[in-house]
Amino acid sequence: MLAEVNIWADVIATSMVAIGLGFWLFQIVGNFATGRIKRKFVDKQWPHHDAIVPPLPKIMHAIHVVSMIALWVSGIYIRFPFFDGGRDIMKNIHFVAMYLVIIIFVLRVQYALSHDGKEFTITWPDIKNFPRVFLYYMFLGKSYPHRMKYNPLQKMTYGYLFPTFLTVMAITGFGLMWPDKVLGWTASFAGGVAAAAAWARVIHFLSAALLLMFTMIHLCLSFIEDYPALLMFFGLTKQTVDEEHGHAAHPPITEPVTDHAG
Amino acid sequence: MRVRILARSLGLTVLLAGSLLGLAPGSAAAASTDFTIGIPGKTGCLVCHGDPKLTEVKDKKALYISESESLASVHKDVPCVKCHTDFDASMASQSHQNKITDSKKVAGLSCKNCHEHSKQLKIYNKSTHGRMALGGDSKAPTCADCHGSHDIKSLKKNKAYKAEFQMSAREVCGKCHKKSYDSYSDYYHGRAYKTGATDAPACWDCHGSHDILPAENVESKVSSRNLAKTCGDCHTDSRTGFTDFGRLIHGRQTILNKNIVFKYADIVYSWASDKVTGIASAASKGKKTSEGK
Repeated sequence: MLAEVNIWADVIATSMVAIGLGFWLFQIVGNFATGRIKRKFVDKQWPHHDAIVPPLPKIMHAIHVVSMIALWVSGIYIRFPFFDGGRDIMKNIHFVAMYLVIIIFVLRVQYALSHDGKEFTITWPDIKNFPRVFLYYMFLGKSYPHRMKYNPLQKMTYGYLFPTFLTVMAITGFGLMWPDKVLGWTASFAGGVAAAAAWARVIHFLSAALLLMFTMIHLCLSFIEDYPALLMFFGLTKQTVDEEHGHAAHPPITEPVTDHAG
Repeated sequence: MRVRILARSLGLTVLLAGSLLGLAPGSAAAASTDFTIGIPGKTGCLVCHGDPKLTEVKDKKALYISESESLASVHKDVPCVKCHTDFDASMASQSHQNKITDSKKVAGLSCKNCHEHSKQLKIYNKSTHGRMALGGDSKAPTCADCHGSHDIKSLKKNKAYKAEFQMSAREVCGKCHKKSYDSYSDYYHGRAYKTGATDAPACWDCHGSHDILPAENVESKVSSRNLAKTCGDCHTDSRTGFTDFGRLIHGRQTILNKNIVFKYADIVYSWASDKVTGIASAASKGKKTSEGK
């Protein structure tokens, strides 16, 4: 069973990357077809921001991005070595980047708990707003109500999906490093520690592929929906604040307000 | 000493020259020539075999022995005849031209003559390779086929050579078992090994070396009965369920060919892999070129 499962994992991972690339293509074509590209990149109708993003989350995000890229490249190499003699260096890169990601993840959770955690909380209006946001991204709706810093899909991705994947990958990754200690408790039903580690490896690989797909979508939408914010988040441009059009200018989130996009 | 060696070398030259001219072998000169001394006395044999152009008359097979390689080998003090036991100076011309014995095979199995190798020989004799050799199969790999001959080095004492040998499965096993070597292409064993991963297993790490047996033999390290134990050498608490992964080690392509979805994934992977490998290779070449400048 493990033999076929591993190949199915390859198929799924390939599909995840294909979906990520397909999403880019879909968004580019859709944005051209609906004229959104012109409104944004030519007419400069970008979303407004009512508060400066503090440097700490931006620094953490930048370290996380670099570390995740290192993890993906080295992780793909470990499973599918694509040049000679890179095993040791790639394993070391994977090891260092893993600790960086975990440290940044813990610090970011701590920061969220003490500073901006509410921005990721999914509320009932968010759930009601979800279909319109989804339709907007599918080019089946012209706009969606802009209520808070993040829309429901962003909240779900940043606040729940990414942390879940990172946690699963950290646990399975540590399981591969110390199978006895981390996976020993699963040995009885997995069919031994070695089998548990083999399953952990499959889960680790699939989580990485899913995370990669969501990151590709995240990068695509960051680029297309709010290119200035993307540059600002990496410190490449200075952020502009427009309080009149910001979240604070909107009424409470119980009623639909001025549409954000379109 | 040098004069003595020169005299011996000269003696061999005279002997061989005499033989080639049709003089009767076993002359007084040949009988007195001593081939039992070690290097630098090997100069005696190397008078002829030290010539890079020396080949067999019939099949043009190279007979050159590199002196520098011999001197760097673990057997540098062992005289040639200690391994080439079928060599008889008085019959030099016959053994060289008429091939009474297969000198390579004889030398390849001469390791048993030293006490320190007798243990390996006993194990080897029970293996599939040993049985072939005992049965007179000319294709049977002998010690020298895997360990090398004139350039042989110690796996115990020479760590650098041990590391080099560990990565030489293609030369050691692949030259006879090409299909098996080519099919060794799963993720963390075969592919990793072929790209130089020092922690990936070589053929003998799973199949055994002196004790190697066909997988169908229940005593084989890779028989279904022993597989869990063999995998357990690296994978803690390996049991039967885990060993199913073993089907991928040599059978990944076979599994891929069974299912159309798998085939599709393989095509995508192969394409992507070729592209990435091409880019990596081009980058590596570019780096080397710029370093060269």
